[in-house]
Amino acid sequence: MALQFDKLEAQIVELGKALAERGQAAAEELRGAIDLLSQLNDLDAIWEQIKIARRNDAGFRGAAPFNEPINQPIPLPALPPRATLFAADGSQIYPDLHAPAPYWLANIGVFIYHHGTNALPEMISEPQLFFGDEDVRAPDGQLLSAAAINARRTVYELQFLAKVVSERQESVPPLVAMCDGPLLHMPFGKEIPDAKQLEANYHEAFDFLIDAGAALLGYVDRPSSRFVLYTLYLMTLPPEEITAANLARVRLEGMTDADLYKLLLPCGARSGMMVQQSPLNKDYKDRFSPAHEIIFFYLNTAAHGQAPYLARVEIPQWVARDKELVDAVHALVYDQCQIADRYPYALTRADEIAAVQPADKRALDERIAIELLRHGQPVEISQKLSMKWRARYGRWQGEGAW
Amino acid sequence: MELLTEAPPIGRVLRASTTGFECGTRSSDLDEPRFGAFVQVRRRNDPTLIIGLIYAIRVDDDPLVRQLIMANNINAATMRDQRENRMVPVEISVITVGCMEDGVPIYALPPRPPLSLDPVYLCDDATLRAFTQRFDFFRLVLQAANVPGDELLAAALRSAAAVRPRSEQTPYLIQAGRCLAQLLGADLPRLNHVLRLIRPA
Repeated sequence: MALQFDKLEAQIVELGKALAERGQAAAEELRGAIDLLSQLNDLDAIWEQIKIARRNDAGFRGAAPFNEPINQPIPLPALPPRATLFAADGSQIYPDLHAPAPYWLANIGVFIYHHGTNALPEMISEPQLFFGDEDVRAPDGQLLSAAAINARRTVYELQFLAKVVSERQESVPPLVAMCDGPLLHMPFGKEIPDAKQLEANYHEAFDFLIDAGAALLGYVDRPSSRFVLYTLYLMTLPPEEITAANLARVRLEGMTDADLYKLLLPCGARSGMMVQQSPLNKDYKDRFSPAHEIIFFYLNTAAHGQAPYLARVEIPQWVARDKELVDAVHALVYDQCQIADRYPYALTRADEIAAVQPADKRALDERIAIELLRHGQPVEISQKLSMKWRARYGRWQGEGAW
Repeated sequence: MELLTEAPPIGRVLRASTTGFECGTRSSDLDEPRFGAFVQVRRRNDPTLIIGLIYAIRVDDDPLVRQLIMANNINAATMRDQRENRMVPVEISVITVGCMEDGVPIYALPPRPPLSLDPVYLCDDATLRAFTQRFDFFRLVLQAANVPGDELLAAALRSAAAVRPRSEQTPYLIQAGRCLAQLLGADLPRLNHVLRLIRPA
């Protein structure tokens, strides 16, 4: 049944009005925030406030300056004449009660781009099928949750990227490994079985990349983060008022750091590097290695003449401490964003290589069903799934006639 | 039954009917097929060789190609990646103009269309000469709907003339022109147009 737009009309009008009002309030807040940011020249003063927040256990989750001013654009450096880019992405098929057998699949794609040459880029994909009870079910017997699958796929993605880079560490330097999404995000919570092992594997992949002499970056398109805005709010508080209760009170009216830096960064420029203040990042640094701490900067990926378009680029500390490598990452990421439209070409291609389409899932289910039948196993096609496919696609895959 | 051709296929059948078919290929394989070329396809275990004419070649776009065009910053490596690595599909549309059984041309629609994934080849010279020795396929081309019939027939005749000895090419085209005059006698402007298209240089 089609969506009944006539019943939605009044709600759409209401939505437009509410968003316009919110936009006006946000514009005023933004002007104030920009004034405040422009005055934040003293990095030590920022660090002083952050230290007080730490002492007061105020739960501050903002950004701390790394080793550069945070209120000045850093212009686009010269592009290295040659480099080797390794972009990775992954996709998955989640375990499905209605499939012929319980399984899940991770498919990792790596795209290798030889910057500065006419060489044909390379494509590698690595599908892995998981079907053992211990791989498919949580300790309570239920199929693994989407969160658990996502965590595993993210780890496999970085492991495979590190493996490919290690195997090709003799490629033309600098070697730049890139992932889609943040590096500082691993949800190794209690709901993830083997969380500790996954976390260890994730950081081991970092070490492989360090050994290979490669840079690593996580690319966040259109970031909605507010780390700098939280820092600005922190700077407005007198020391005695830096408490968890006060920090929780901040209202940002839908503003994000990107709104701030869109006004500050010309095309190709980046912000100063910053460290996100979070227990997870502290954990990376303290439990694994200071080199694993995640640093970030904002980058305006728009071409000249285009409206500003922001990305957040996350790099581990081993990259951030190497000025030459940071410049290479900055220039190469911007260059990649100019090939396609404000998003790294290599990541677009890695996504394309990794993507598992619904038709692939149907074909895989069919192939598994045939294999089960070949071994005398009964295969019961889910009636629910069968009817869904009929309704959506007209006929069941493999069914000859309507 | 295998085709008597050593050349690689120009594509494989995507969808088909008795009146024509579409075949798919990759953009990097687009050197050989051309508008007005004769093609041949045979169903597996079927003695009938279906003969067709290419009347359209379409290069499909996709969102990434659009993005690359908008960004207007394509370098040689990206171009190679798009053309050699990516499956940018090209669709070749073919109108069926007859078939051959045991080497004998039949100027009528085949009894069955080819099947999905059947390989499609350019006609080898011998088959092309044999099939075009008579002009009974003209009517199928000129009457086909949604096909640029006049231009297609002219291009097909140039292909057919090209596989004949040089001394036979002009007489062949003159003979084809006489046949066209009979078919298009009631439509002189159209006849003139087609004759101009096939006039030897």
